[in-house]
Amino acid sequence: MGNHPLVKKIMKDQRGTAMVLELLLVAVVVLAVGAALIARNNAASTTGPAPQAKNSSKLSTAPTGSVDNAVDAISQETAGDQTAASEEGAVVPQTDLSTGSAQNVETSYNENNF
Amino acid sequence: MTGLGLMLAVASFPASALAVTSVPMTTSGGFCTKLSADETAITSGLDNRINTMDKNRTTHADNLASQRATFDATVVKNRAQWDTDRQQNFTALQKKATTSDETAAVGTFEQTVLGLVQTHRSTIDSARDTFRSAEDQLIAGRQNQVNTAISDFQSSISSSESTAQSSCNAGTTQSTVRTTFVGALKSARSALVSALGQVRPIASAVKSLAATRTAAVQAANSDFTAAVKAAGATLKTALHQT
Repeated sequence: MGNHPLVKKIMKDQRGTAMVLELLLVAVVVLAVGAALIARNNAASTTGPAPQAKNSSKLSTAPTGSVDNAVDAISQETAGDQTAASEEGAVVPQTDLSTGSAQNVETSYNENNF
Repeated sequence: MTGLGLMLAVASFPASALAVTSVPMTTSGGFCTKLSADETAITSGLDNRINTMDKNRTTHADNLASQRATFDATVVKNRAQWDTDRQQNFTALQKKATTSDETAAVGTFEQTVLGLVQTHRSTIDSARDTFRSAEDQLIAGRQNQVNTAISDFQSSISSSESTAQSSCNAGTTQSTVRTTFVGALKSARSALVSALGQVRPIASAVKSLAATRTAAVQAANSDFTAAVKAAGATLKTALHQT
């Protein structure tokens, strides 16, 4: 019965269908793995360490011998001193009044106890 | 005495005698006896609080000095880096000079810039020193006002104690002495609170000083930048970089 032409044709068709299904399954797995890798990379890039602040006094570009370049670089020197200066005084110094130390002197005694 | 006699005796007791016994004997009765101990307690309480205030002042001064030292260290570090960077630019410019005139022009530019840097830094340092000096004066002025208020407070207390002691020695009724003493202490406290309330905060004055210093720094920056650009323009012509 297995040698019947019709049976042979059916068996041949089933193997072809199976191969197609196997190929589709492999493709799905490959796509899933790829998508997972991409998602992991994206997640890593958003939770990575914050960029380090650059040293404001360091040259942003290497000296080229251009006068304009040199003048621009030298003029940047003003920014640092201004930053350091403006930070000072932003916080008002504490005093014995601001911390209540002086006011506490009035509680040295309770005259009602005498 | 019969029951009726006792009732009549109570009814005829002077009302003024009852009024006297209504004053707590534990408070005024031994007032003169324990006045010395009370004075010691007052002095001890005052000393403790003044010591606390002095310690806080020292802490505040240390914090301020530390902050200033941090700013100074930052400025020194940055300036050293700028010196290095600037020298790299000078070296690159020197390499562009191919004739003696061009070399001289670069040398002039360097000396001009170094002079401008010196002036700029001196101006900024002066502005910072002026700010700090004025800030110190504000703090000291405020502390002096507080010190005066506390000193007056101590004098008033001392005077009250002397008066009370004299009254006790003169045989004045203890309740009277106590009433006068307590009243004087209340007045002293009230005067202290009033005096401290008149001491002006320094926050707005410090910010005003900071604004003045910032304006001086910005003016120095503008002068520096303009002068460097002018020197650069001269050098560009000499090096034919126009």
